[in-house]
Amino acid sequence: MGLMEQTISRGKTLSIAKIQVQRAGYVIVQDLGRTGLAAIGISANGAGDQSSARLANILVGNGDGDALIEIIASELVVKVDSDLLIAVTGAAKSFEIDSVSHATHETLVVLSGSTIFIPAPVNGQRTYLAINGQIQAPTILGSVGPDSFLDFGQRLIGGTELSIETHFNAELLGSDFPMFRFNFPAPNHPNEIRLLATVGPDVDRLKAGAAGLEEQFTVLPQSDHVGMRLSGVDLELVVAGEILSRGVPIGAVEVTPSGELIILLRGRLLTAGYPVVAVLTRSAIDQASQATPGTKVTIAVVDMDVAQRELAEKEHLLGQLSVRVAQAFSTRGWQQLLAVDHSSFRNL
Amino acid sequence: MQLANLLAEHLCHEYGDSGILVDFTNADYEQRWQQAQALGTALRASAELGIVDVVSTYQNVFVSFNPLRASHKSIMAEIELLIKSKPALRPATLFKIPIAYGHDYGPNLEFVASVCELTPTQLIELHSGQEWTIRFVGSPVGAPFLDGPKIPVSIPRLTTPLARMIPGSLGLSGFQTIIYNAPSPGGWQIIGRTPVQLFDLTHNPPVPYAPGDRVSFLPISEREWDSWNKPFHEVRL
Repeated sequence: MGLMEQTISRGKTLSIAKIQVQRAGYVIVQDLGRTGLAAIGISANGAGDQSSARLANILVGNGDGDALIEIIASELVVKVDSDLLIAVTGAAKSFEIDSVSHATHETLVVLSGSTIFIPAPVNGQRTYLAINGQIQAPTILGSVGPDSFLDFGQRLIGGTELSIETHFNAELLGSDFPMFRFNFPAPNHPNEIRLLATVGPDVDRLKAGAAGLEEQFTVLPQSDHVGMRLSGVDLELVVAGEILSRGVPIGAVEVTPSGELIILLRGRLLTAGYPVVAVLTRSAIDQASQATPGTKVTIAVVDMDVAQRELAEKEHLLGQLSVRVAQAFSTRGWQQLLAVDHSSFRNL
Repeated sequence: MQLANLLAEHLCHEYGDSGILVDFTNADYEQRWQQAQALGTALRASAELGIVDVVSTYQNVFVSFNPLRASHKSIMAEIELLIKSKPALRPATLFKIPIAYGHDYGPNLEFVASVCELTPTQLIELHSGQEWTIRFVGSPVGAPFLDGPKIPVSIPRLTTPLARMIPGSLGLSGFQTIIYNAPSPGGWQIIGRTPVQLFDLTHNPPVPYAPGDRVSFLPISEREWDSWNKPFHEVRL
């Protein structure tokens, strides 16, 4: 065990673990964002790929909305000064602990003194690193997530030291080194994606109707966390009256007057006045946030019950996993590692 | 204030797998807005399980919900109930907001004046001479969306939106005006800027105004800028 300040909390050992950032590309402390603040004009923001972020936290026994690290289209090298329980999810296919390659999407023990290297992804762009416990980071309006309009966020750079309040420590390791195999399917991020959506209120303004969205579009480089810009076929709009600004959902597929498509992502402004011809499903929003410039995109409009069945299935899988993690941890006597509101889905 | 037409004409659209858009459709603009704001207020106060957020604007209400706890059906039922339950708007407060018009503060003042076939001075008199109504508070961070005074023509948006607005910028577009409280991108014509910081996280709520409140703009000179450059709650008018 490295340097730790130990306190006793409810009879369990609570430690402050430290990690030192050695090299970082675009890396931030993140969570699921701020919701419920539309009345004061605050955008949601939060992890672009919400299901991967939740999955990483679930794999280490945290609440699914706890703070974690988001690595965007780049790499991260950290040295750990304490024994930690971690999981890496999202775009990276593998990562290294002391130059030994490990699969992502599993729960892993990292020993004090080790170096974790998470490479830039080959496909996709967002990788998540969750650590059992609470990452110590400032919050605004209940979230650690960056918000450029609030001029807020914690970016990790070489030399940054992060503290994590955790119940994990070497005494929990016992004589056998713990290995976990939850075998949760890792998503792929291919160069061609099909995004499921449901019909939007202004679909009638598209001359070709919803079928016009089945054309192939390309993700433009000026896309960001506010919106994904697509090039390709210019969609023709029916001449119709002005739309007064109104609330727009994350995942809204908007058509600009020039026939260009914009998909609104988590940093969107809350209101807009462009026609909304479709709205991506929740998992399609996660997929879109992983798409790199140049990715080919088609949008498939499906019935609402298809979208809801997909959502229910994905939530069921995450719920099942959190139960399996809880069982596996309990079997090892690791109950204290489980968050009280483990997998609460509170920010949905 | 009670609503004149309690059984407001409206349409409910499914708006993604966890959202609903309510569109008020009766003929009177003022009534559509009142109905949207009243429903928004009622939904925010509603105990209905699963409501995540509510965005009420000129004539629409966007409700997002947790699909594991609610459904389009359950939220629509709640909306119908609340529309019948005579929600009320709070009484209006009048705010005075100082604005440095034109020059570096409002680079598009002359263009907007020429579109209106007015001199810049006449446009300033028109913009600051009458009260505006806050129709809703939106993003970026607590931006007030206002309308009211008769702008002679609908003002076009910037041909190329700005990537980063200077906080405090006063925008005009269509017949509406807005203040950008944050360095966000934006497409409105900028005719002035306020030195007062309207959004203040050390206060709850972080903005002093709400939909229905009235605003009058007070033209100030460049040399008065510094004396006004402070958070809203420290300003005495």
